[in-house]
Amino acid sequence: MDSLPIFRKILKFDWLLIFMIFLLVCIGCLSLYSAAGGDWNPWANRHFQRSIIGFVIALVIAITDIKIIYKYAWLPFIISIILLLTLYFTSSQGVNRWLDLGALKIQPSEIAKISIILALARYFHDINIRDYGKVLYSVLALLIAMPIIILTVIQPDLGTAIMQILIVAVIIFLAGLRIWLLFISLGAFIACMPLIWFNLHDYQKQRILTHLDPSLDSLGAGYHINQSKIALGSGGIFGKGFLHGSQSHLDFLPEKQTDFIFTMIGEEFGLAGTLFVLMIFALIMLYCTIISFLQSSQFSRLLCSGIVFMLFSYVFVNVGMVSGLLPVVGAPLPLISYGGSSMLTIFISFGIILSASVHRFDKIEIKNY
Amino acid sequence: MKKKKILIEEQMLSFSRRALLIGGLQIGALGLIVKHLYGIQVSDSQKYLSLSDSNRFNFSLIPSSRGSIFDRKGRILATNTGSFDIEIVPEWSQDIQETLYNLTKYVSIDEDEIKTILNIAKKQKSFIPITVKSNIDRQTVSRIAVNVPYLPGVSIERNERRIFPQGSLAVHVTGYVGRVSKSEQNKNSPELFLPGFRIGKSGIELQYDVDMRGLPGTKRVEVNSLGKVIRSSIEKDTIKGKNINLSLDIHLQTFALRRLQAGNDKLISVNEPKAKKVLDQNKLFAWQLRDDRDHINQNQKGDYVLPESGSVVVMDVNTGEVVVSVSAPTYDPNKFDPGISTSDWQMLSNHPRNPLINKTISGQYPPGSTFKMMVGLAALETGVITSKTKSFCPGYIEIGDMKFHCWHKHGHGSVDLQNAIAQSCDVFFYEIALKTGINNIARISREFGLGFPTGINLPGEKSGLIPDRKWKLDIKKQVWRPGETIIAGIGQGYVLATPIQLALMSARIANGGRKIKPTLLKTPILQTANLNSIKVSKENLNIIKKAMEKVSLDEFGTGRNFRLGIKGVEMAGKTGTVQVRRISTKERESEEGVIKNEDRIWEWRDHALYVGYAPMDKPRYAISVIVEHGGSGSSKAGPIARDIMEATLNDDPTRFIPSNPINKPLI
Repeated sequence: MDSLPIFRKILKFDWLLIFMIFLLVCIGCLSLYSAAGGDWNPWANRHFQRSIIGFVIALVIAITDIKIIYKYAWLPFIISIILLLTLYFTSSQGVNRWLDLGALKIQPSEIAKISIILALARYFHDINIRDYGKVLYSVLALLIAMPIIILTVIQPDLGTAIMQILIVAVIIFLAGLRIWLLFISLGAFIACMPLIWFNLHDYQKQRILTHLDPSLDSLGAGYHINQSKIALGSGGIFGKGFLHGSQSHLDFLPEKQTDFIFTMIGEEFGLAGTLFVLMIFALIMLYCTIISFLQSSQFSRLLCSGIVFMLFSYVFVNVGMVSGLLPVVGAPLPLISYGGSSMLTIFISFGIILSASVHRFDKIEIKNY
Repeated sequence: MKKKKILIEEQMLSFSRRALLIGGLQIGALGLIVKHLYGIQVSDSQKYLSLSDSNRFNFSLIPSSRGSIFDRKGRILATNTGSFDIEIVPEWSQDIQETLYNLTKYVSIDEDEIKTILNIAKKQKSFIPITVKSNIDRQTVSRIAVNVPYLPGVSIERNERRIFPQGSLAVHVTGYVGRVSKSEQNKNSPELFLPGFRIGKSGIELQYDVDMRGLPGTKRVEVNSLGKVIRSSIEKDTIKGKNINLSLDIHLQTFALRRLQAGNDKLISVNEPKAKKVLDQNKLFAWQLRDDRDHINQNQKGDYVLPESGSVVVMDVNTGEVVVSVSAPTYDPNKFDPGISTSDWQMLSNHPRNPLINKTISGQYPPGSTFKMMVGLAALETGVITSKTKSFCPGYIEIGDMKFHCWHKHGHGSVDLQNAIAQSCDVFFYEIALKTGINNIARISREFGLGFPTGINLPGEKSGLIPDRKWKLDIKKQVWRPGETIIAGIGQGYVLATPIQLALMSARIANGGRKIKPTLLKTPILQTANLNSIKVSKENLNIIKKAMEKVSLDEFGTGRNFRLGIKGVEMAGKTGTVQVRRISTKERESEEGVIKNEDRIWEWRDHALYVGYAPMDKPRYAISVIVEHGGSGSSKAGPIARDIMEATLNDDPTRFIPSNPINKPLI
């Protein structure tokens, strides 16, 4: 089958999706402008520049044939493992999530998320159709993802690792995991909880404990959650107004430009602001889910739905964390939080979704039949 | 082939079902988040809003109450009183400048003050209150309280203010308090950042500042966005600062200060027309009298003059307790809290008689003839003379090509040591100083407390100066010359001593050479426990004491005219008259002779000194008096010392029982 000429592909782009992404980037820039106390520097400008680069990357991926993506699906996975190993061997003691590549600093565990999705989508696509849903292959899929998860856990970056596990679980489930096995694994997971607890770092335990009762230690570890809730709550329905969030501007909010940016939006624009942001995310996810339904190959289906779930997990964990529903784990809000690695991951993901949408009628041949 | 297609379709269907399930879960999870956000941002919004506001004052410090200062009889020298202050929180005031201008309708604030406040507001965080005006009266309080709704951000706070009920009487001892300056701020003491916080700046207030501060408490305050306190609860109580009990007797202090200031002058009431005229013409007079005096000095020539300045120290010879510590002129410490005005500060710092300096510990004067006890004792100890050694005084002595004069133009004739002290013969001491040598004189003087800071518990003490050969070589880079020993023999030249050192010297002579240390605190029991004694022979010391007694008792003694008026009680001592300018040969040999002290300008007149102790048979108190440019020791300083000593002994019913005798075992 001949592939479409490039300009035809561009015409077939989902411009509504691109518009919504652009809208989120703009919200991000405005929020960063406010977080800097009404200044385009140091964050808003860079955020915008990065997103332009992101758009270019996404559009390049979008015009790339889905078959090519399929062909090289394992490559990012291998690169991720190499990066994670490099990080493991070069990092000194303590927490280290950043790999300094000279010009840019990246967070390999973020990039690893999308690479897991690509690898597993290809893996399940390649399984003989007769073996669909067989237990052996589900377990194998888990084993494939294991190196990345383990390397992420020992960083230690528990938050990202849990998100990775969830993404893997969702893909395995969508790829036809036997229902009874699902329940068994759930049971096993619950049984493993105490074991996990004893292997946690002290600060991780503290985070979970203070999550359960933040008021226990209002100037200690629970401080962030309390201050974040105060900021959100004091915003009310319509907020204190742009640039007028006292919590954020009096520095009661930690890291307001990255993980707690949603809180600042909530303080300055109230429930209206937070619901608006969540609605756009929901629309994007809905849109991408529809795209996944229209796919004609197992690879692109799993790819799209995996990405949707990844996006969901970002939003859910971030908003859940800042509103006190989940423990404090470092999780950015896609496209709005300041930070390069997650933005790169997100734009690559959208590029893949766009490509899948453009090439949705392309069939990828099924091997081993 | 068909089977494959069916399988693919099955796979797709299964995917769709499962994807819908996952989608449903995601919608459910998002719904949970929305519900949670609704709960925070709508249902509990009020609670969080007030928490957000209270965040600004989540924990506030309660300043502790500063310890008071009492005199030896429990009279208050420094304490705190309630004061109403106007404060403004810039954050709650939409336009701070406008609010301040509105405020001027009710209380006087000048342009400079407004500028200062606006400057402070720019520099610090906007939720920290700034004091606009301190210590406002009740009428103003109520007028502002009524109008607070129209003065956003303004509030009236009740704070503590430092007061010194004795005014200027003991300011050099108590010191004063003031605002914390930038360099005094310290991250470990957060209370220093409180707007109304005061710390000790001088005297006892500075010396025991940390003890007197106490520890601040903490308060949790919830305020709404208009600044109204909704709730406040005390988290930690304050710990009150320590009280300080001084050895000072404020009544004696008052008497001593007034007596010193009066000198030998006539006191004219300020209500007299003549005095009023003088006050109108002379700004300095008016300023100095404003604080605490209602009389003006008129000297023997009939001129109106400033009160005498100088210093008086009265010390317990057994314990080292300082009962009187006067430094004149004084000033009112109450003016430093909330903050001294620029004009007052100008007056104080440019005053020709240096009121800001505590002359008892920081004023360094040549001791003059009061140093002769040290020279005499050094000569006896070195063995160059005995008490019987006599010398002839023709009124001057020629050594080399230099001529040194005795104060008595016609000479004292043949004198021994005791008579030389009693009549203050200079020639005798020129001779024995030269024989004894400067290093021996210095060694003895230092034993008696000269040349080093005495270690009294006040900041800023000076060490005085006892020169010797090594000092001259090290500091002046010159060899010591014999002529300098001669001059040092009468306590002039390089020799310098502070009034507290002179009092200490006479106390150590009086108590038989026990090395007491001066203190301003009332409980110095530990100090007297293990006192070393000065290594001088008791006999030699007694010769000196007898000589000091002769000053009062001998018919030619310089102190014969100011004996104590208490029956059976006599004072031993020594006068001193210190030349502050060189008398030229031409002047000395002119027809009129040396220009009389009263005819010189004030700065060129002699210092009048007196040191002594009483009662002479069972010494209890030592005294030193210095009248700056006051003339002669016997006519000016001596009578002052006599009156103060008399008052001290009369005031103390236990005057014949040595306090805390050292042979009494300590419990």
